[in-house]
Amino acid sequence: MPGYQDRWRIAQTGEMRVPGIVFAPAQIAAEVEEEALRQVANVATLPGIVEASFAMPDVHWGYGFPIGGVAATDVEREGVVSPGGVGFDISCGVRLLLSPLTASDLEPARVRLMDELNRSVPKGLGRGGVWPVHQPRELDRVLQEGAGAAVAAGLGDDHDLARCEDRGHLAGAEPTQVGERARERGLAQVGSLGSGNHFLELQAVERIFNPAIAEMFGLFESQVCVMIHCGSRGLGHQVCSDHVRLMRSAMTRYRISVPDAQLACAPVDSPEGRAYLGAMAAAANYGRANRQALSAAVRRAFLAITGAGDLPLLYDVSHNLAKLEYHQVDGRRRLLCVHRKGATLALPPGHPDLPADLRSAGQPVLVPGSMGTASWVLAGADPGDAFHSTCHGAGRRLSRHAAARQVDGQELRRRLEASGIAVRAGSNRGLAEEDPAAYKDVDAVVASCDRAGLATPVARLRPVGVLKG
Amino acid sequence: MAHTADCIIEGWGPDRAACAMEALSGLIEAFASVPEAPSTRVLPLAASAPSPEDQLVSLLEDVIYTVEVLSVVPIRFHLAETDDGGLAGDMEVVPLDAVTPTGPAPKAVSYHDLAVQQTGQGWRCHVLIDV
Repeated sequence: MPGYQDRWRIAQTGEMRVPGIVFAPAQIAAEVEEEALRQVANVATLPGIVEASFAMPDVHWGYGFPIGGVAATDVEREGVVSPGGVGFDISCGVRLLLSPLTASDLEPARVRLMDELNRSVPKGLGRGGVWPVHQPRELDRVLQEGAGAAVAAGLGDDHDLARCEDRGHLAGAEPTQVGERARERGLAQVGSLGSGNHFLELQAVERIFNPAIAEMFGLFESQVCVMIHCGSRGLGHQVCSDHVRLMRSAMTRYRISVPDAQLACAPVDSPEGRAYLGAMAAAANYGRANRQALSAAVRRAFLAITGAGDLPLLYDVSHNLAKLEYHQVDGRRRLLCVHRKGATLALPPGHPDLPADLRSAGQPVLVPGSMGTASWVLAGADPGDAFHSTCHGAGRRLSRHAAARQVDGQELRRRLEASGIAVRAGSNRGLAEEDPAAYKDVDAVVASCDRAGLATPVARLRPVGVLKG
Repeated sequence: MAHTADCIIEGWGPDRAACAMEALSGLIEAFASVPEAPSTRVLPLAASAPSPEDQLVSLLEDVIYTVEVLSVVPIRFHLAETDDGGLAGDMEVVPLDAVTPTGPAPKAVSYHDLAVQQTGQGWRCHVLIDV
């Protein structure tokens, strides 16, 4: 029966308040690291947690919380919020821009387009952003209004906002809770890609799996799209660090002890909890503004090189966030703090938070696969367990160190170019660390989400150009 | 060092200051190849937090901030213990464009499995860096 397969239960024992549930096919479940499973069980000890500590098929070992984890706490029953359940890169997320071109249309200009993107998109080490935000008051506007601030500055339009989760800004942002160091790190970086596993990719739709939803999304075979994967940069990281520290010192006051220091938490309904959520929302808004500014650079590059600068946004969604949402728990409507760390919101068809023109399809879910393999567009589905969440990517299976030892960056670059993927990367070791062999099989992860009823596969996209810091 | 998501640094030294300097050098080596040339500037570096672990986090965070906000990269560290149990000294830096990026930039320090311990041979530290 579709929707209830690929589930593994970690029995509730010891300090756990709920069981663990891991969504995965048998062959992935067998390879999930012991430490990741221990982290799933540790999360189940958090005060106020309801239903289960969930893990997506791409789960891997993180700090405190596993990456690919979902946990919800009941706000009115002393449920906690934990910065570790969001991640350092607050509102790291993905957006997909759709071009009118096919892969063959683009081919004569593909390399020149990648060169132009390489020139015009700030990435890697160093300051610089597409949108030069230098004044503290301008930064405050970004922290309050997110993508809306970028659109107001001429870097997009209202359709972009309609196609962003939360219309591009999370309510409840408190810029005053963003510390001075975070602000300094955030200034002059709006509209930058960063490094690590962040990227900007030219992709082509390789195969449509659900024609009806694909049509509603505006996807067609061989269509050129641009996927942008990045987050709130140094500002978000600093907010997480600052608030983990504040919570660590507050925890004894709330008589909370946790099995891992990175699980530091405080009740949602507490000064520390409210302070973190206010700062987190501000950082999330920075991340949304960041991706909006990068979209403007992409559109300019497309216009300059191909003449086709109209690239509407399919959707922009986070995979590192804590949100206050109402859900049914034990037959009653409860206000929950839902942590998704390396897990993507996936609202099902009919959900009122979806824009009207997407509501019957379900929310687009963008899943960046490993570099050089494939990415996916999914749609939120029913039953949509784990509080309407699904995977966020392929999930690492090798450490950066092991990947860098196993593959030579130059050789990887040659291999990618030989298979028709233009590569522009900041460092060869950074590239090697992102070798597809270091990741799980994204097709297997997506298939598992489908069998578990978490999301519906819509289209598979293959990369034709990779830009990395 | 092996962590699926990011970068673990381990350092050893005959004393706490030497151990911290090893960790700081490891942080730099993880993302940049630094020139042999002398530095252009010296910046202060200090940590006075109550525990050795918090001091190490503070020093690493200061370096991450310095690289990102001041656009300079430390190439040599000089630290010594202070009378009140802290660590203080300075770091020689060069402009960012004087180094060659060799890996992803460090962005934050995690408390997961953080350790600064005295051993039979001196001091050892273990810290996870988010990149």
